[in-house]
Amino acid sequence: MLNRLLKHALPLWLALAGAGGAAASELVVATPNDPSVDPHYLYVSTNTAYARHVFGKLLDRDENAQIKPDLAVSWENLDELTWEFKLREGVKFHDGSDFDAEDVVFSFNRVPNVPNNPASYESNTNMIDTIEAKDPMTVVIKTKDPYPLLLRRISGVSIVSSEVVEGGTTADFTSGKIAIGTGPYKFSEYVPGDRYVLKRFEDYWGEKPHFKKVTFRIMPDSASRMAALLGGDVDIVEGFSPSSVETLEERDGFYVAQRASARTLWLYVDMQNDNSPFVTDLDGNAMEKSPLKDARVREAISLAIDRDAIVSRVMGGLAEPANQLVPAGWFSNNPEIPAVSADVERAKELMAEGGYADGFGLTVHAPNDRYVNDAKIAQAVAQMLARIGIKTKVETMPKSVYFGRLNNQEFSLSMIGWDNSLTGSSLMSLSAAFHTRDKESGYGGWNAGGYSNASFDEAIKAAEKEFDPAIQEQHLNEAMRILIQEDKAAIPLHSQFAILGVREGVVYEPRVDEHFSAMLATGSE
Amino acid sequence: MTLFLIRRLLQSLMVLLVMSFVVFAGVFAIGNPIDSLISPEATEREREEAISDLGLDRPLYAQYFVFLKNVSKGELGTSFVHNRPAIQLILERLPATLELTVAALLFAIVLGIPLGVLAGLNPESLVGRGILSVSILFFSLPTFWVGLMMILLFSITLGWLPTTGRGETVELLGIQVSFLTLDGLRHLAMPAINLGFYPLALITRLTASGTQENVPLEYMKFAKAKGLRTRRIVSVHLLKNILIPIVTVIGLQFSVILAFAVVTESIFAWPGMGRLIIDSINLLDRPVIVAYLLVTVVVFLIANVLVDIVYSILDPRVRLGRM
Repeated sequence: MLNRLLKHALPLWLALAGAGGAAASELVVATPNDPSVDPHYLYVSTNTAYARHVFGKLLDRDENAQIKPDLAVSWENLDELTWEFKLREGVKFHDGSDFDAEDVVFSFNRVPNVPNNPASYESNTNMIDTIEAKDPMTVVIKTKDPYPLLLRRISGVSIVSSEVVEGGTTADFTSGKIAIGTGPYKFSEYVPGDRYVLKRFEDYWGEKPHFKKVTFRIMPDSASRMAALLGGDVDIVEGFSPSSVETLEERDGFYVAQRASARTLWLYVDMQNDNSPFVTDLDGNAMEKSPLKDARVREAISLAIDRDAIVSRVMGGLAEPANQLVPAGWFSNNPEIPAVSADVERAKELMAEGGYADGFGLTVHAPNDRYVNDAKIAQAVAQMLARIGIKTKVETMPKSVYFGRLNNQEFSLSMIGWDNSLTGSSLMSLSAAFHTRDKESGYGGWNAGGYSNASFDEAIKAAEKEFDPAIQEQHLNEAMRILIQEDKAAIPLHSQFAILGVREGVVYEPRVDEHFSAMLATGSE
Repeated sequence: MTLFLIRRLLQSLMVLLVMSFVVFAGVFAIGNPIDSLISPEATEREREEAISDLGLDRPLYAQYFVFLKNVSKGELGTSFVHNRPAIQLILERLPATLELTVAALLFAIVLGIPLGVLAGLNPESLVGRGILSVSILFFSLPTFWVGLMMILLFSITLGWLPTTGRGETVELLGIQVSFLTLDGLRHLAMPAINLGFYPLALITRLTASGTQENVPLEYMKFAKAKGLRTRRIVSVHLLKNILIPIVTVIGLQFSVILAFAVVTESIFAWPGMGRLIIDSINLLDRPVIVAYLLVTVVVFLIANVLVDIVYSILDPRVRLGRM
């Protein structure tokens, strides 16, 4: 045993005595997220981000959420339903085998068929009727209906090796046995709950990333992630808490990487129930008609909220006030919708016009572990509503409880933050969160306010079928106008920033979708 | 002894059954894991499919019976998040937590008993009072705060120890252990000490009060009158008489730390079982939660049996058959 001790300990001691932090060719990332190594299991954004390192897709989304070619080099519409993709020549998998059309077909077919999958990636493939390999370098996809969004959808399908993965399970990915893709990094080691280690793939077809080795250290506690950064054990902290920004900026040798992200927070308003569950009169009794059904009241709520104050006081400046559901400067941001500035006097007038001059009672609901400062934002909103006489209570809860109740329409005024990067437009949020619920066609799956407007639905359907981006944007702008200006059915709050803590010497520019990507990190030495 | 073990086994099975139902019903009441796992893009139909695939649309009793049926086949369910058997996930993390627990308890015992005896023999002296006052501090300071302060001091300010994580591991009897490498020990030190503070305080105080109670007793006076050296009086006669409550507490603390080292494991990013249960609760990964709590019950039961056996060794008057 002593021998063993010396054998292992001595070289380690030497290594430790030498290097204070990580070596220059290695990047160490502290992250709160445990990965799913299987790229077709558990569709959550953090897994999509992990998968981008190891697996290629036909098309990917770049750091600005724009479509870019990956394993497909070109594509064309043979007709409205048929798409032909030409594949990239000479691409190798990590095990040295060649990539071809069979791998693509296999991967698309595997996506909806992973057993026991609580969150399937199949929303990226279920519009597809057939997919075929025309020849080894050509894939033809036929959709069930005209579906212009296909190019964005297929960026959610990671391509695995058909030879290796055939018959394999999620557990085989976790062990690394079949975790073989075409991405810039290859699987090296995964210790659940501890670390996920990737090595650079030297035969990658594209530009090779700067770091030879990337270690994701899985650390759920935000204070310890910060401590690990300050102690020199990690180079980048993901899931960085805004309350730590000041501390980090005061210290030498670190900086905060930030950019406006694709995630916009808004409040759902219960538009459906006459007897909304959390609306009461001032004495706490149920009301016969919910004031939230009055557009003047909804406008008053929106006017009472001082978004600039939320951004500067609660978010520490790391957010942008929002007047609609996609951030300014984005495709389908409707420029005709004016910015909202808080106007308490006007809000009080509107309350009086609606017959609620004395106010009423309301509870605002929010998660407390999902978005940056979510619970604090809800508290700020409640205080601002109190200024126009709405006696507002706040109830926050863990996301595991919150989202189930939210989608069950159990709340009256409730918070959500929507990541718009999938479509790069308002299409996803508008059709999922505000189109009339329709189980058959899949619309309105997150319509937690029970909003329903026929002309809005029409605009969404038209936008979805439209191949010409300019016309599609017109439809989306029209839908946004109806929702925000006409019906005031959603109350936008702000778009949050993606922020990370970074050690000086490492250069990192965040992606707009908040996905971490080691490919974007470089060293400054 | 055999009778004792059989009776204990039957009792344990009853406890497990009741426990499994309580946990199952509790997690069922919190809500549906699908809602927090599924992507916002999923349609209503996809959601319903996922729910029925996992059998979550069935009533509570039906789900519970399916669970019991699987348990009788030795399966505790498959994790929703990891898509692997829950029991495998737990056992995989057990060595890390076990290592941490043993290190913490060793630290507490090796330091706690001598300090306790010292304080018990000289309760009025400065040293005795000092030890007892400091032990109160260790009782009352919250673990997470002490942990963060330790990281701040030893890692960030002084730079002596790594901030978090588990160090280099080597294989010992098929299990990955980190206490055989220097890097591993450097990583182990802070979390083990942080976790050991509470049992240290507990053991110190118990030993001190036991010593204080025993010093004026006849057998101690007799030993002294016989002319035995203090060292022998303490190590043979005194310790044997005060160890019973201490062994009980060590046994209990062992199970408690093993099962619920959650805070320390989170702060020091230690890849143990405590982290697993917290992550699983956050995501409502029901199979893991249920399996974990059942494993916990088993650990408690085994520790209690061991404590009873140690009693009978320490005190010949204790007969296991009568317990």
